[in-house]
Amino acid sequence: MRTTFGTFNIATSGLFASQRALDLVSNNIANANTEGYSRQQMLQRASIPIGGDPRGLVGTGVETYDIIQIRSAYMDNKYWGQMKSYTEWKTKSEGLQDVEAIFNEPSETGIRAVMDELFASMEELVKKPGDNTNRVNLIEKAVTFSNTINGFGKQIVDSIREINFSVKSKVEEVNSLATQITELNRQIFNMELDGHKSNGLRDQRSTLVDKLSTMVNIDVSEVAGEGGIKYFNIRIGGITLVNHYQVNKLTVDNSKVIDVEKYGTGEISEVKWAGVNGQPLDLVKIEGGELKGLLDVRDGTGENHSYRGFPFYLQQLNRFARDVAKAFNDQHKAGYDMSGNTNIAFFEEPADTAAPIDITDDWKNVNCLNLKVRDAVKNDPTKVAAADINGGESNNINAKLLAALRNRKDIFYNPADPTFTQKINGTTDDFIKSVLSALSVDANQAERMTTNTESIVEQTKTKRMSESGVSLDEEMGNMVKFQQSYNASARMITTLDNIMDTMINRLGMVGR
Amino acid sequence: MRITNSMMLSSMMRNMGKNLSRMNSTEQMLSTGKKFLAPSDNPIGVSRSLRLNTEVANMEQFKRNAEDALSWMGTTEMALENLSDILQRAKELTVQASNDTNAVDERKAIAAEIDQLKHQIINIANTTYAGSHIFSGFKTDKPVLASTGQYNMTPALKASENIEFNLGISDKLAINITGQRVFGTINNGKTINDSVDATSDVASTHTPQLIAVFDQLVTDLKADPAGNIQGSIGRLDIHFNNVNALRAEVGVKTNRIELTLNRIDDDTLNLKSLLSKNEDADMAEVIMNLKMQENVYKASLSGGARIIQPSLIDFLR
Repeated sequence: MRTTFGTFNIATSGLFASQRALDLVSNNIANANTEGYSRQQMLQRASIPIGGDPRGLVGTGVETYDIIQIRSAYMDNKYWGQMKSYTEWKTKSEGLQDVEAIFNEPSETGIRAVMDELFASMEELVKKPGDNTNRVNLIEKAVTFSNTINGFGKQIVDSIREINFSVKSKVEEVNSLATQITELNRQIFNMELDGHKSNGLRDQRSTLVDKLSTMVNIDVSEVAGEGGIKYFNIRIGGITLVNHYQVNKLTVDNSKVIDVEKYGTGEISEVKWAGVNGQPLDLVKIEGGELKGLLDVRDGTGENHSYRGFPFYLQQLNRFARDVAKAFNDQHKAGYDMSGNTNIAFFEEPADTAAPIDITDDWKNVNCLNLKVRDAVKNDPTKVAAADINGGESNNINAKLLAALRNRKDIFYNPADPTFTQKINGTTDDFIKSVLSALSVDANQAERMTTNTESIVEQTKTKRMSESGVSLDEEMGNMVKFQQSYNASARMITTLDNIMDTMINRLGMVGR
Repeated sequence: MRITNSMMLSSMMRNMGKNLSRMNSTEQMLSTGKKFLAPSDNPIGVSRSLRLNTEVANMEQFKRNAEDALSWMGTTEMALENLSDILQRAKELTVQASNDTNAVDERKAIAAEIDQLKHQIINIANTTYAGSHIFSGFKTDKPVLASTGQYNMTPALKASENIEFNLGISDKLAINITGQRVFGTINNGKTINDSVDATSDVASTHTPQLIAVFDQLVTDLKADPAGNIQGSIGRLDIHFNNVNALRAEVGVKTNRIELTLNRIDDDTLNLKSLLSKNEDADMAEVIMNLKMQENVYKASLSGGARIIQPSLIDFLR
């Protein structure tokens, strides 16, 4: 049966629904620029009619029953998966840009120019070995050469230190994000346990996962447990980082004994699972993200198809310094100085203080950091061995052989041969060129990969925004729509009011 | 596809950023004049540039070497020319003296002049180029002859002491002539041969053959009756020919150096033009590109301004 005031209720439900919808529009507009916010939509339906009228059922108004957020889990996962390659390549590209800046080619101050000048000074020595200025000039150019190589080496070692520091802080960030995510998990879980919606918290959590996905490769899953309540898990390389309420932290292990040849001095932090009692367990399988980029650039030696990062360039410089010093010294020792002395080393061959090894093998200790013209030669230019025997100031025979080192192709030892017997074919110029072309090709590839992966990520990001982003036009349309429906409901109440007025105040006046 | 405001804004910003970075790289090309600044910009170009730059530097060094060799040769040529003149004069005087009508006094006057010529020869033997004695082999700090006319070399001067300059990667040239090739050698007190011994080592126990010839001539002229002056004429002839042969050798070498210099100049020019083609930006093209990118950027800016502004809000009252 229809009641007298029932229509009021219908109109009021319309008013309430429009009001709530307007609240939601307002909230969407207010959050149009909030990072990670996904638009929300109110769901409403016609409320159940009261039965009992044989002429048909009239509804009892409208009810709002849910507010949902428009967000695609598929897109989220896709985004998180793609993000890791983009940030990996971006980090690599930045690392190689550093190497390019260190080598500083093409320029008039790079290693090429320094080597050109060194060999030019040898040619001048050939022309007049008796002239002390030519000897001093050669020594100065050799000092510039060794300083340049030292500088490259030092900058590379410094870069490795910086990257190692970045690795440590990234691990901290991952831990901090994981902890924040578990906090949010707790809040979301508690709210949803009561049947509430936690749209805002979910947005916040997704934003944190967005950030996490830039740092490391993650697998995200939200599994429904008993009663449809969802548990949120994150794994790295198959091992759990976030298990709903619990976080399995990462840690850095600095105890690794490092190869000086690859890293220079200092510590190298390995990323491991912290484990239960804070004891480092296994290495973390890092396959993407900034961490992967940092680790590749920090550790890549180019051996066994690994990435060519800073250690590769340090090793190449070490080989270059060692083999060039060896070849130069061998030739220099064969010659005679102005006072008729022979067997004089030009570059320092430092004795290894760590292990008592054969004194004749001291040259193997030369590297790009300790390459240096011997003080004895630097302080006494007459010690430059330009002659072949004690025979006159213009004897330039050894000077010619020194200058000819530039075009000799038997300078460099095969790095794969630990006995130092095999040589590889190539001049000093060829060596530098091959290092630089490895650098240029790698840097070029890293840049291209960055651009490619960026556009893929951007595409997904756009799709996400297309789905979840707030459209002001749409909200405006909704605003007008709900405003009008609010007006209409209000008008309905006015109309009812008139009806009631008539019915109560004017009805039954006839007999009076 | 549903288009939202933030989407349009972000894609516009992204594209604008791309336009700007393109403009930036073109601007860098314009300001540096180079096509590439880092190895990654152009891997092959950079490695070519390295090689070409090194070759240009090599060529410049070889050019300096050739020029130095040329001046050294010039000094040698001058010394040999003077020597040739002296021998000519000595021959004339000797022929004059060999005339039997000359009295002892006249012969003594000629002998005095011959002796003077000998001292000139010693001076010429000790000619220097930039402080280096040119006939002393590797021992350029020592004069080849002592003032008495003896060889002055301790340890011995070997005929193989050739100072070689590099005129190319495997192109060497000996720029000096060792003393014995010019002046010959005999052991002290031995008799004079009729040919020039140019190959034996010489030390202070040796006398230059040419000086010995002059000494013998002076002795013969001063003697009464005169000694075997005719024999000296023959020996002077041999040395005259020897010196002229050496002059020819110097001439040929000078010629070769000049040719090398020409070749080096040509090569340098070629290399530099290759280098320029490889790494120098085409300014006209760069400026055109920059203008085009500027226009695109401006268009995207004004387009952006139009995208951002209007929305339904502007039309609601």
